[in-house]
Formats: sequence, structure tokens, C-alpha cells
Amino acid sequence: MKRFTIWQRMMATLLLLLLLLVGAMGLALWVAQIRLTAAQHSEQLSTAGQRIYADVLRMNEALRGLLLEPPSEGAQSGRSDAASAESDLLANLSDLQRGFPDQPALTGALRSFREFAERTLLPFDHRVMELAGTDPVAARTEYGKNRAALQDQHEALLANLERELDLVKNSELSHAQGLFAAGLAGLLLIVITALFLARSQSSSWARLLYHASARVERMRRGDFTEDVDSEPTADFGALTDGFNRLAADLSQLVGQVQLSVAEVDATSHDLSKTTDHQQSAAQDVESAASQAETAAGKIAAGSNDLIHTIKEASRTVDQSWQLAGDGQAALTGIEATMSQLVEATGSLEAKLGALSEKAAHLDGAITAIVKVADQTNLLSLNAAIEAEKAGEYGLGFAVVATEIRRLSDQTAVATNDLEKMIKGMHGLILDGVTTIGKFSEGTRESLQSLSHAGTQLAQSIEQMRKISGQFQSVLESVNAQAADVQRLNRTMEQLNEAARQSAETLRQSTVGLGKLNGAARDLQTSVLRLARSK
Amino acid sequence: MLFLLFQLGQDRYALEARRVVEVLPLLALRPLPQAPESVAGIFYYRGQQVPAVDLCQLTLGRPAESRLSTRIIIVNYLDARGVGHWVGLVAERVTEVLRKKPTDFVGPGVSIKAAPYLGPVLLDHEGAVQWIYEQRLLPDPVSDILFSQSALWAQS
Repeated sequence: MKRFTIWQRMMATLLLLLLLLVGAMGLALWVAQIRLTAAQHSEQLSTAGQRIYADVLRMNEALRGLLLEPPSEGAQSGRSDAASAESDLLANLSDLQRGFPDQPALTGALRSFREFAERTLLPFDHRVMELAGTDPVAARTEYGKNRAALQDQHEALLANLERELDLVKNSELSHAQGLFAAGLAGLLLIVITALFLARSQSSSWARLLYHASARVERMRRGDFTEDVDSEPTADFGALTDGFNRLAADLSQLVGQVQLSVAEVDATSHDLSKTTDHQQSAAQDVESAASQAETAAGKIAAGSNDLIHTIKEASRTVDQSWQLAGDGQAALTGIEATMSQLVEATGSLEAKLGALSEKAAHLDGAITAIVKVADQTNLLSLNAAIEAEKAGEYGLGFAVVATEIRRLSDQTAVATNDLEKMIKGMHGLILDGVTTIGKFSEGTRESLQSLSHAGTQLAQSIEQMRKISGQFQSVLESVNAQAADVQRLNRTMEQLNEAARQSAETLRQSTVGLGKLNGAARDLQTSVLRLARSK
Repeated sequence: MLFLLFQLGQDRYALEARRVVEVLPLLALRPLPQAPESVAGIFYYRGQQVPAVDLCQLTLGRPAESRLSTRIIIVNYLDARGVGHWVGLVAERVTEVLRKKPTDFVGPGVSIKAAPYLGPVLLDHEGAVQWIYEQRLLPDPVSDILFSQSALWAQS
């Protein structure tokens, strides 16, 4: 038995259907062409008859016009009208004769009308026209004499021609009708054939698919024994071979799957153990990372506290520094004031010295006064004594002496008072000088100690400034340390997150392993069922 | 009768003015070697060497204070042979004279042999003033020493 592949069958059917389609299309075109041609012919025939009739009328009218009108006016146009009508008539007759050579009846009628026209009608017309040019009256007479006979003759011939034309038209149309019916019958035949072909092909495909699905259903149930060759649709060799090979492969595959299931089972068991180990390890890592994170957090908090404390201390040192600076400024002011005080004291001392000197001068003056008074006193005493010695003669002199003595006494008393006063003043001045001197000395010492204190304060300020700078560097290093600790903290967090994720992954993989184990067992059951049915 | 007043310490004394040659300021005295303590030294007056007797030293046992009012009173002293000698008496506060009658002075009531020069006492509003007899001022040894010498000079 000859075997065809599915492809070959499909291609053959497709080609056959294509051929039928092309044939139907050609047939339809042919029928349409025939109908068109018949219609054209019929139209042409009726047109030609009417044109011949019209040409004869035009010739007659031209002739009559020539006869009725004066020779000078329109004679030339009438002649040319008649000539063109003549030539049109002859051309139309020739066309009809050429177009329908296979119609003997029509050809005969045409020939008899042509003969009438060439031999009778045209010579008469020519004759009348020539006469009209020379002798219009003779022409009219000639026209009137022969006109009626000629009219009857050419009308009879035209009626005959028309009858023949109608006959030809009818025969053409009936012929076209027959051809159209034949074409339609052919088309119907082609359609029926195509339907039959499609039907047979689809039924054979349906049968094949039904058998294939039945075979697959058996295979699904584990039956690989039945051969497709025994089926009625065994001509699909390739498909059958495929099914057979598939069955053999599946049978082999079942064996392999059984082995693989056992391996999967063992591997899954091992993997489960490993996963358990990894999970515990991941939990250890997670707890360690968590502890490290806590420690890092504490360190960060500690370093933040430290930063806070250092900032406070730095601020305190800065404030102390500023206070010390203010103090130094104040000390400088006090120092300047003290210097001024020392200067003022010095000048006061000098002035007091000058005053003391002046007082000493005053002392000298007083001494001089005292000496004068003393001399006066002495003089009065001696005068009084001499007056006493002189006795009666010295009485007046004694009075003078007494007066002088009184004066000297008063002077002495006043001088004494003055001396006392000046001495007191002098003592006060000396006391003042001493006091001022002591004060000046004290001020100088104070100034020195103040200057010393200022120097020490300046040193303290310098040290404070250095300490402030050191605080700044300490703060910077502690800040850097805090940043490191924060980075460490972040790293620890990431590590912790990674550990959590890996634990989660492990948990998921444990679940996956459980599912795999279950799937392996299901597979094993199915395969065992397949093996039993084999 | 006019009296010249002076003081020796706090006590006031008076000399008869007629007996006074002149009152001089306290001159520079030249010390006299081997002389008694009461002899303050010698000085020159009107071309003569005159001894000066410190009355303070003589009566109170201390030298007179060196003041302007401490002066030398020159008196005429008659020695044992009746020869007159100028003697300078150094006394304190020689600045006043006093005119009183001799009867205004009353006797002291006591007589001290060691101080025969003390005379009667006058009482006024300032206190007591005792009359000094200048002729009895100098004790004999002193008088001898002073005026034997001057007698020798006078003889030569």
C-alpha cells in the first residue's frame, strides 16, 4: 500500500482546490464576455439600420433644398450635404457587410440595397443636381416625375433590410443566452466538486485525530503496547512512527524517572540536613550580628555623650577664656590707672617737697624776725637799765625804753605764734610727704604685683587658648570616631539584615525541599503505577 | 627801784638794775680748762676778758638752755679785797624789767647757808620773784680762781 505523508496530502488537496477556483473564475469571465459581445452586436445592428435610414433622408432633403432655393444661395452647401450623406450611406453599408459576413440573409439584403443605391438612386440624384445647376425648372420637372417611384422602391428595400437586421439581432441574443446557461452549469459543477473534496478531506482528518487522541489517552493511562498500524487510518506513516517512538521513549523514560526519583529522594534528604545546619549557622550569625549591632549602638551613644561633654567643656573653657580676656583688659585698665596714680603721687610728692622747702624759707624769715625782736628787746632792756642809772634825768628815756620793750614783746609773741603755726604746718607737710611716700611706694608695689598678675593671667589665657585648640582637635577625633562607629553600626545592620535574609532563604529552601520531597514521592507513585500496568 | 627779771628753770628771779652793766646776747664762750662746772667760759667785753658763770649750772646743776632769751647779764662784782670785776651771769628768759619798791619784797623765812645769794621774795599775779644778791653769787673758791687770775693780769 502506497503511503503519503500528511504534508503531501495537504498540498495535493490544496492544489486541486486552487485549480478548481481558477477554472471557475475563467468560466465566469468567458460567460460575461459572451453576454457583453451579444449586447454590443445587437446595439451595433440597430444603430446601423437607423443610420442608413437617416442617410437616405439626408440625401433626399439635400436634393429638395437644392431644388427649392435659388441657385446662387446655398447651392454649394446643398451639394456638399448630399455628397457627405452619400459617402456615409456607402460607408455604413460596407461596415455592416464586413461586420456580419456569416449571415447570408443579411448580406443579401445589404447587397440588393447597395445595388439600388449605386445604380438607381445615386445616378438620379446626380442628374437632378446637374440640371439644377443649369436649369432649375427642368430639374424640378425631372425630380417630380421620378421621385415617387424611387421613394417606394427604397422604402421597400429599407423595410427588408430592417427585418433582416432584427432577425440577426435575435439569433445573436439567443446564442449568447445558450452560452451563458452552459457557463453557469460548469460553475455549479466546480462548486459541487470542491465541496465534495473538502468534505472528504475533513472527514479523513477528523478520523485521524480521533485515533491519535485515543492512542494518547491510552498512553496517558500507561498503555504503550497497541500499534497504530492496525488502525484503519494507517496511511499517515510519519505520525504513526512518531507515536511508536514516543511510546518506546516514554517507556524508557519511566525507568529513568524511577531511578531519578530515588536519587532525588536521597539528595533531598541530604539537602534537608545541610539546610538544617545552614539554618542553625545563619541563626548564630544573626544573633552575633544583633549583639554586635547593640554593642555598636552603645558605643555610638557613648561617643555621642562624650562629644556632648567635650562640647560643654570646650564651651566652658571658651567662656573662661573670654572672662579671663575681660579680666586682662580690666587689669590693663587698672594698671594704666595705677600708673597714672603713681605719676600723680610722684608729682604730689614733689609739690609737697617744694612746699616743705618754702616752709623752711618761711622759717628763716621767722628766725630773722625773731632775731630782730630779740635785739629790740635787748636794746629796751639796756635802755631801761641806763635810764635807771641816770636817775631823774633818765625818766623820759625809760618811758621810750618801756614802749620799745612792749613792742618787742608783742612781736615776740606774734612771732612765737607764727613760729608754732609754721612748725605745725611744716610737721603736717612732712607727715604728708612721708604718707605720700609710703603710699607711692605701696602703689608702686601694687603696680608691680598687678603687672605680675597680668603676666600670669596672660599666660593662663594662652594656656586656655591652647587647651581650647586641643579640645577642638579632641572633638574632631571623637567626631571621626563617632562617624566610624556609625558606619560600623550600619555595616552591622546590613550584616544582620543579610543574616536574616539568608535564614529566610534557608527556611524557604527547606519548605521547597519539603515540597520537592513530596513531588518526588508523588512521581514515584505515578511511575510505579505506570510500571505495573506495563 | 628797777629790777631785771630772769628765770632759772621755772623759777623767777630779779636783780637790781643799777648793779647791771649791760645785757648781752649769748655770745660764743671760750671754755676755761680746769675751771669749776659753773664757769661756762670766758668772753671779751670792751677789751677785757670776762668770766661767764652759768646760774643754771650753779643752782639747778644743769647748763642753761641755748635760746635767744638766754642772755649774759654783766654785773660789777666786788671781790674779797674790794676790787671790782665784771662778771657775766648766764641766765634764762632775760627779757623783762620790773619796777618795785624794796619793801615789796618779804623775807624768805629760811636762810640756806649753801645759797647765800637768795634774797626776799615778791609775790605778784604770776607767782613768786626772788631777789638775787649778785655780790654773794660766787662761792669763795670760784671767786678766788677767777679773780686771782684777773688780779694777776691786772697787776701785769
